Amino acid sequence: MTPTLQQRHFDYVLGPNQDSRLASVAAGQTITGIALQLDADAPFVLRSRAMRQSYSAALTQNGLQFLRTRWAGPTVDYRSQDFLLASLEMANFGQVGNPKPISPEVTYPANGILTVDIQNTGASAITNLTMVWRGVKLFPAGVVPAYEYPARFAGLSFCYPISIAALGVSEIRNNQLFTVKQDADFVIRGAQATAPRQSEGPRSLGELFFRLLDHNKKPYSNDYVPFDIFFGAGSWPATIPMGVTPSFRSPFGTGPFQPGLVYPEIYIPANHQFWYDVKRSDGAVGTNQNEDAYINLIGQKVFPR
Amino acid sequence: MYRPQFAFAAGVDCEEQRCIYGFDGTNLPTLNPPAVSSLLAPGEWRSKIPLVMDQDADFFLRALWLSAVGLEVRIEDSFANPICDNENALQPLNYQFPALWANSAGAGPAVLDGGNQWGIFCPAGSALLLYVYNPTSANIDLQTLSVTLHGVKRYKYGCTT
Repeated sequence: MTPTLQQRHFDYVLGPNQDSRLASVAAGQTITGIALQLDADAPFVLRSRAMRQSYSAALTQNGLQFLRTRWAGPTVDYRSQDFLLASLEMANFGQVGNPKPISPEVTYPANGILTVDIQNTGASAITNLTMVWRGVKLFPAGVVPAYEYPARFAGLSFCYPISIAALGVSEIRNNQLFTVKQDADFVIRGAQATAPRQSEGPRSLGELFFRLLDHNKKPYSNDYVPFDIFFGAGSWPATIPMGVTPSFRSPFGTGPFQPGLVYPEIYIPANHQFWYDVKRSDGAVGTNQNEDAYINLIGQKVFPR
Repeated sequence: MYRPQFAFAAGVDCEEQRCIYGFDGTNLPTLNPPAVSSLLAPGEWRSKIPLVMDQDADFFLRALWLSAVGLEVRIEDSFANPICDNENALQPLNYQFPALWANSAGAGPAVLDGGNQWGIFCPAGSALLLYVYNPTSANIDLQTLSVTLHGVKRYKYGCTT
């Protein structure tokens, strides 16, 4: 990467908020030319992809195995000659904080267009299909505030838990503050969060979304990112469809060993803050009720010397 | 976390050996009756359970694995520095849920960043401190807890067998 450019973590979300056709992709339907216009402030370097749909009442994502996609680079140069089954492209559909790497990376210009075609080959509709395009924005060095390590320091592995208490079934809780304690700076490198649960009833904490913003309230995504894509977690319920019937399996080979990574890392000095927004849209169905969710920010304390 | 595991050179005049410490009810008297009850009541916690290192070499802790039994856990290094947050008013935030910290679905131990020597330095014979908390509404048997510490022992050249 050119050293005079500054990378900044960014997730582009392409879901029903960006294209209403993704709210329900009917059985057998093909939608071509879904276009997401990228932000004007910086070019975007695509490095990984992930996707999800709304959970069913049984907390499964039962349509994704029938989804086929075809996506294109900045000049509408398609990266496959035909539609590809998403299940053959990426493990666990890139969820649990483990998006499918794209290598070599693909650079889109500022104001560029991200194009994707989709096809539902299943027998039922896919609801609220959401695709996440993860990478970095490229800014000229110094344009975006970013703290750096002191010349001399000591480090210690550290985690900051965040409690999101009694989150309502259809609640948007924006402008939440996280403050780094006074004893040391903190570097965020990964994040884990409460996995969707079945133990407390169907769809309990299924539709959770998260948006991270820096101290200037400049966001790290264009929309809320689904929890199950942004964050990793252990002990996931069986949500991923496998086989034709299908049966549902827990994601394997995921968890805190491979947390949802934030890249490049985010350096927050002691006593400094950043913002985050949370949204839950489970709705008041079944046994849904207010629930606590937890986020775990993983990284390192930095003690200046 | 961004780096490959265990890809770091040993110190000058040193050689490293892979080392795994395992702690559970079989070698932690605090978790094992009849010394005390192994049941932890809802909302209760047990503090400063020592995880004692061997005396033959310093240990560099690089990864962690916890069994998930409903407990929340906190660990402090050999110098009583917590490696996850504490001193919060809300008790669950003073501990970590294993599923969010160090319990993996077949993926291996959770890598711990930090330390200036690519691992959390634990001097020979020192003890890490384990704290456990029951955030659930039912008793939890502490004998189901298992803590595995992954890392390397660092020997002077010629001191290993």
